[in-house]
Amino acid sequence: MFEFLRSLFTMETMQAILAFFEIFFVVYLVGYSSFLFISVLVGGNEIFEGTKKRRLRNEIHHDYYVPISVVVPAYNEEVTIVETIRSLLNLDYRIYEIIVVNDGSKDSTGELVAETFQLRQVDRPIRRQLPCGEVLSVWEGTGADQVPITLINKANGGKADSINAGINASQYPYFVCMDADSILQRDSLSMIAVPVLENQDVVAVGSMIRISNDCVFENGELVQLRLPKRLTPAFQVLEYERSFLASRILLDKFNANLIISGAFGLFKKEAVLHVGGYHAGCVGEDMELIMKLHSYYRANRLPYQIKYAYNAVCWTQAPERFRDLLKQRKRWHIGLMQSMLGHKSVITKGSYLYYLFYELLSPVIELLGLLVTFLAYVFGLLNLQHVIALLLIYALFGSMLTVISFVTRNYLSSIRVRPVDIVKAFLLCIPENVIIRFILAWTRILAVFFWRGKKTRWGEIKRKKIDYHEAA
Amino acid sequence: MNIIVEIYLIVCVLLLLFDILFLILKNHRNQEFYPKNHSLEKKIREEIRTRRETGAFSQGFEEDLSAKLEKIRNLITLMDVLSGDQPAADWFHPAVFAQIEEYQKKNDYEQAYYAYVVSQFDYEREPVPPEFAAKFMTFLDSKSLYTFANAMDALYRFGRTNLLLAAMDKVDERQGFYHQKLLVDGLLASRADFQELNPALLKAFAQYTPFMQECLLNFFRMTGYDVSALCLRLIRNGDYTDPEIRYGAMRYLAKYPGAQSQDLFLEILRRKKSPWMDQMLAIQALEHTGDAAVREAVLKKVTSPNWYVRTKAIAYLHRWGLTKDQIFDILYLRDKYADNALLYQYRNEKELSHYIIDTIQLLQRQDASAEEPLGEPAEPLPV
Repeated sequence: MFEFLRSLFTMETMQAILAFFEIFFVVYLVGYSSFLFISVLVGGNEIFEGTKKRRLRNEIHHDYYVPISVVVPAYNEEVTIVETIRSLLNLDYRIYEIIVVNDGSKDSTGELVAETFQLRQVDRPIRRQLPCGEVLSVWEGTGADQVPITLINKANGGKADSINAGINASQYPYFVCMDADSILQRDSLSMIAVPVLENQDVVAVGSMIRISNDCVFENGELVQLRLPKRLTPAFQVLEYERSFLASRILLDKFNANLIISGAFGLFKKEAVLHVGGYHAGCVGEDMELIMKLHSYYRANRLPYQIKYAYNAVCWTQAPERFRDLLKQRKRWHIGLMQSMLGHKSVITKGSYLYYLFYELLSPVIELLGLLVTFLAYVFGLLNLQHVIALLLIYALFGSMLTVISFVTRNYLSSIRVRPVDIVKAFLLCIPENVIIRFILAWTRILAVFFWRGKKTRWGEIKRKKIDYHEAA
Repeated sequence: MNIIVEIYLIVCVLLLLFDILFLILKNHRNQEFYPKNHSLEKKIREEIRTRRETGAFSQGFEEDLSAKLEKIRNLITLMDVLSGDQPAADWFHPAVFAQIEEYQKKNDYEQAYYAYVVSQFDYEREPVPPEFAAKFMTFLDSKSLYTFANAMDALYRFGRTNLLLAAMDKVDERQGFYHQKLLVDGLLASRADFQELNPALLKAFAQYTPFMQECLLNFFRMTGYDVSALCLRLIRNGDYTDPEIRYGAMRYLAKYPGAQSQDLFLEILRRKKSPWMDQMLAIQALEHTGDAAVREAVLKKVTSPNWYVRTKAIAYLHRWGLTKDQIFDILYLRDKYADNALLYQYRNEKELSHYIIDTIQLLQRQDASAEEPLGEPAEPLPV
């Protein structure tokens, strides 16, 4: 096999190719490492600055709020939906409503919500401002503190279609879209509304998504953060901490965030209506919406900002099984690809290039790196010691930054972290950076090559019931 | 290649060290960001004492303080002292007001805090100087809702009609409030002379956006200012009036009923096609009258497919005395919506709710047996 390769390339050709790739990869690696470093630095700085702002905000001690509709699309969520709504009823916020959109679930999601919260069916007309599937019935009621709850039973149409239906039924100028298996902290809604209060040009706000697996909650509040016992969710905790603390805060500085997680994001309704709402035929509907907002406001030269509220926390369940994680990442990558290819007009945004090279094309580039290394080995041009040293430095550097993110974030949010978890984080971040990263890269490549443009469906990840109201 | 690896290693280590050191330093500095200026605090307390004893501050104190208030931490210190000594606050107006231009240049949070400080003073004894008020109005242009809302609070405290009218224009122009309650509560709490403010707002009513008009109708309703003529006109305009404004006008007339409004509401109920919200508000508005014509019109609404309309209709009939016979008549309509509304109305009355359930079931059995060719003789209905 090696002979075949040697006959295919001459030594000179191979040397020229390797020289080119050497430069490319050094630039790529240095670029990524620098980005990581700057983003962790800026992220940490921003969190410290945020605590100052918070102190001044507390000095003002005044009630500020924007009314918010919380839209919860649900499909076969009977295991988690009631807990989710209960957590929403506990929010520390003055004016909000909850809209649950049951997207033709095959289980008893709708019945469970109507029964638990004593909703009654009403004949309420819903203005179709955004396209969505047929609304079969509307149920209304109120929860604790008279928070209005609306349940919309509609024909199955996917997540985007359900959110559109929820937006149509919402009565407030801002809406929050969240996953039915996620839990908000008591102050999450107040925190996500802060960027809007700081600047009325803000049209969307992203939040900090954190993984709830194995964490200890008491009355809907986190009392102890624990790294999950299982490896798959534990790796994801580290990955989320790094990505949410660092890169998003840095990109936020330049109004350059292209992603607001579908698990918890705030949007200005008027802005979303202007761009036609969520695109039902798209896999990554959340990212697609952000791209549309960027495109729309830039094309019309309107002032706008898309912000990231790192202290608005949403707890979500990470896939426990590795194959579920792979499925999820495949879906995300296809969503990223669809959105980026569909909105090339924002290519002039610096962040577009970041997402293009370090997100969309990164699996291809990383695997190309492996291929070139292999070829160099075949031709005897590889200094194995150097390669291992380089990779080790890279992995250690990335791992250290991950740990710094993890510790900084938790230290500043006054969350108790057990020393054993810090040690565990140290130990896990190296395989996370080296092994998991490559497996996920491979999965993402497969997603790109084998994607056949199938119609969007709900992700089917096995859920388990988590008790957010009792101490462990 | 060796050099690349070594350089990369050194750079990475340096970057990591820098990152860690930076975060540690930041943490250290952060802990002292808003420390109380204890010497200033002591000085202010001493000066308050001096002023109480001698009727004046020490020479040079006001200039010195004014310069110090340029810094937000000193302003916070001043407010901490004054929060426990409200009567002394009046003496510090000039020093704080003198800083307006400085704070107009600062960041949003500092501007918001300054506006908050201004909103905390009492303007009963000493009205706000017009030059300061004119400059202060620029805070309403801030994109920060913190600054905007605090500036509005200060304007409510100033209590000057002309300033409030100018502020209303700004609120309307930038759509500063997302919920009418915020504006209406503010106006209600303001120190303004309502005898002067209400006519001025009514005069400007037509030039405002629907949101603002709706807010003002609520404000008029809560202050009891007579705008019945305006409300009747708005309702009669029908589709030409924004529905939310129409509802606001209906709510107003429901609270302050008159002969003309009663006829209008009755007409709305009798219309074949009225939006459900209009019907519901009309029933609510006619709550106080038990006229036969009104009862007849409301009775027809018990079969409305809209939950709010039918439950309000039943509640109205109950208020004006709904006998068992009348309940039976409603049940005899065999309308699921009416049954449903009756059950909801009497959910806490054991006997009546049993009667309703029994009657519904009997009527259903009768209907079922009537459909069969050789049915059993009909059961007697419960009395």
